[in-house]
Amino acid sequence: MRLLNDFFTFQKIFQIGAIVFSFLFLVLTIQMYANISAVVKTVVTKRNHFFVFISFILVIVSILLFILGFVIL
Amino acid sequence: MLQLEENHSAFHALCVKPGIKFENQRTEEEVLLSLRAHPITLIPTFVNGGIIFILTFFSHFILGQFLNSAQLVYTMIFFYFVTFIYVWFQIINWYFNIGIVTNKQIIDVDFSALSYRNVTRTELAHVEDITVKVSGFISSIFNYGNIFVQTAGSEINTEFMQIPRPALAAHIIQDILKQNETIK
Repeated sequence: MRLLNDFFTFQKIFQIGAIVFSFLFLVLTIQMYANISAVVKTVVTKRNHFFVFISFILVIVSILLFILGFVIL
Repeated sequence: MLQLEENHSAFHALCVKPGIKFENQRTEEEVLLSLRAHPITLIPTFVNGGIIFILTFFSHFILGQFLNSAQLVYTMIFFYFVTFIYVWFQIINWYFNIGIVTNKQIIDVDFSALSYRNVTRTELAHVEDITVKVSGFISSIFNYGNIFVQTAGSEINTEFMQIPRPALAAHIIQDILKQNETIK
């Protein structure tokens, strides 16, 4: 029981929550990036590069958030 | 010969000769019209995003009592990131949900950032009827509505939803159809 209490500190629970949610958002953004990369081939407009670029940045940010969940917290 | 001049209106929601291309475009095929939902339909998204943003800002006073500084910064960045993702998804859904009318066919691209991408193509020769439907208070004020393109036989009917100036768009499509019949 004491071992469990030591393990499930607020710090640990917060860290696990942060890692799980940031992983979910990482999957979400990768899925979005894949979908956008496909649709820009279907409809070619002048602003397609902008949408792909921002989506790529969002994937990078979500990767950073995922890593930060392990490192900083 | 149908004379259409390049025109972009309602934040590129209704464009005549938009200068876009699409997959499997034939060499003699020209894009004459592109249709997106009226930008006013994005306002609820921005309102929701703004509300979430404000709630996140004020939540940091409450969360600050329970979390240390690193956890608080991480939580705030994560919440702002989630808010931006929500708004961004709606914007790309709006941008890539597009209807394209060429001198040969009508293409309807249904796009969802997360789950699916559906492209419906209808040859102009198979179009039987075009119906415009404007319903509701907001739609009447801002002049947007739905365009239903009915096709012959078992082909899927095409729908363009919440298009700005739907009567004008339908008129242009009918002109294109007439010209297409004349050429035959």
